Amino acid sequence: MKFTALILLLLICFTASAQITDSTTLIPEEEENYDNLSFADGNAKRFCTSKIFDLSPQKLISIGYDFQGGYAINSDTIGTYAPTTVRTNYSQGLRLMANIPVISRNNIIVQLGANYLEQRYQIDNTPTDNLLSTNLSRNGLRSTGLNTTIFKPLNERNFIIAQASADLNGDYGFNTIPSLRLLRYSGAAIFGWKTGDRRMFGVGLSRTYRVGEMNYIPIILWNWTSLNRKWGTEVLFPARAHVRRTINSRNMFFVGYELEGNSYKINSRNTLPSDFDNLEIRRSELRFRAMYEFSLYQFIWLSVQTGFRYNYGFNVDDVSGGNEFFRGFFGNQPYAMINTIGNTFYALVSINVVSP
Amino acid sequence: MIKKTHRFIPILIVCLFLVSCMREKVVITYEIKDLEFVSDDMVFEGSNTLQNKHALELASAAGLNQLTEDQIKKVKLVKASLQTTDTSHFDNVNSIVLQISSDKTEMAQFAVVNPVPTGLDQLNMTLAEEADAAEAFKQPSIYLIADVNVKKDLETPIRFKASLTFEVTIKK
Amino acid sequence: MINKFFALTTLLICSILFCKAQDNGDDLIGIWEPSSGKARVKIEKIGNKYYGKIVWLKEPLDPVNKQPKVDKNNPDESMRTVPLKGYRLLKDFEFKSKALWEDGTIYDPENGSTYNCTIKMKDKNTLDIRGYIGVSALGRTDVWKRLEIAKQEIKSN
Repeated sequence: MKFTALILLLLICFTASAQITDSTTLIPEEEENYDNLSFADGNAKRFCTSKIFDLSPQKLISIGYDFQGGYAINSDTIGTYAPTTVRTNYSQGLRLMANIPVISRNNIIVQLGANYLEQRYQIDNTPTDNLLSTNLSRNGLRSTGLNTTIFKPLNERNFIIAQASADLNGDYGFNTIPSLRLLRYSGAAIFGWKTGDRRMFGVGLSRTYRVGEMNYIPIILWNWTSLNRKWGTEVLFPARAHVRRTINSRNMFFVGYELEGNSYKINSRNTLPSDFDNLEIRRSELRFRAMYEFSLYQFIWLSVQTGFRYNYGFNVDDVSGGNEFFRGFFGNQPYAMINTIGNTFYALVSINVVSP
Repeated sequence: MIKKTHRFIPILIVCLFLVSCMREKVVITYEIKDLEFVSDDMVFEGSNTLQNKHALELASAAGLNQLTEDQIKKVKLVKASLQTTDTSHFDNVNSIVLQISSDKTEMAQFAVVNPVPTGLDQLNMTLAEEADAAEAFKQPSIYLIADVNVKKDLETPIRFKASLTFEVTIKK
Repeated sequence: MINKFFALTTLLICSILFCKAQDNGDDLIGIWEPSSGKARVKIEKIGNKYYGKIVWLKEPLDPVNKQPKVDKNNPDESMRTVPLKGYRLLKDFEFKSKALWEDGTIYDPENGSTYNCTIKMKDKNTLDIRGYIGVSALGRTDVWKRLEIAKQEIKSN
């Protein structure tokens, strides 16, 4: 009797278990009125996303090569060195970037990134009696950094973007990496509005080295896509601003500019008195450009850009003890060297893995 | 003279290989006729899923006793037509997308008709150019799924028959 | 003593089998909303796999031609007339273990790309949908929330 009961129970259980492999479970359509649905979790909230239609895809990994045509470098007198003009035949360098989302939720996105940018100068007949051209010719300039970007939506309409980066810049080589106290920190915070799938904008403040030296600059975000989705803007003023022509979702053409720069420690290599141990080049340049980005194969995108590189600043400051100071646009602290470099054309090609 | 002969040997090998490959492959036609799709009794506005399971009989269609998975190289849908005997024709339908899957392969779109013209009893579907059903055809059976977008709620089921013609490339 | 042992054994076997029946992957079935709120997706089961199709669009019509939106970014040009409403963007998910569905793909109609995808059920009303490229690290997670008939609607009925 008991055995029979057990067999019966087991049969019932096996039947229940077997039902899970039922071939198809379609929800009856009559249950659904898809307009009048709400979250099953009463505490769930909707948040705006960080994207609008047709925004250029975010680059997770980027390997690029930058080339600038010839130009003159006029360097100022410093110490016993006389002012000099040298001709750079070309400058070029590798650009590596990685930007990986580490937290990706509806209510917060956190990305961590790393970058390595170099600028090597090809100068013929480098004079040995000029600090700047000697160092540039021998070592070039490098920038290695880490950064993070946080997108924090507050609700369906408002969001905050926070960005921070730490860069080690200078004419160092891999065997002469400078002290971490020379790290230069940048940051930005934006409060924004997303008014639909075609427009998001925001205002904020940045601490930036894009103008060469540390400065505090207001910023404006303006990402917009036209109704027919053929045109758009991608603006983070003053860092960059582009008009976008969307040929299709895998082919995009841009016209605009980018302001890039940083403060680079120059190693005097005992060629100057110790008074000159804390020199930094305040390099800043405006790149007016046309850019074409397209999918080579699925998530592998090629970016080709060319344009005019306009020198915004290449002066040298004496940063005593590595302690940064604020000059702003109106400060009157004197530069250690006032240099000018010529303007030229440039091209940058990069191959990128883009985000889903 | 010897050198010249040597030059031609690799080309000859490639040609022989290509010819041998071409000789071994044949294309057969596989037809699924009058496969009936029927919805639930009540149909509601929007997307409705109609499906059918079809047991494949490729070996007999190819005139073979047996057909192994490796022999099936490519399966392309070359014709898909839908017929209805419904008095309202296909007039209550906005679009129909035909998809194929199996228990072990991915679902893929093979044909679409959008928008559906009114007043017709028979529809010829637009075929996917790139879709290949070879992997699904290596399974004993396939699922044919019709996603039907309906214009309004209906109290009678949607019913139609599909006739599908595939070109199957097999290695003999 | 034997009776107790018999009863306990029976209970244990039944519990294991019932748990197995519960741990069946069908929890995924339902209506879900991606974080963008631009669409609502119905997940259902066909054969032994799970599929999700768009059943609602916040912006159903193309604002330029005022026609229902179609999959205009489909890599196969012949399939660019497939309507987005009804589109199966989640495909071929297999239930692997408790709260995990794998081996599926997710399609992004915004760019016509298909990504590898895994679905994790964080709780009965929350899904972590991770689309990635080859390796999971190169991807993005979107959180989907389960939808149900609005409570006000139920009351009024």
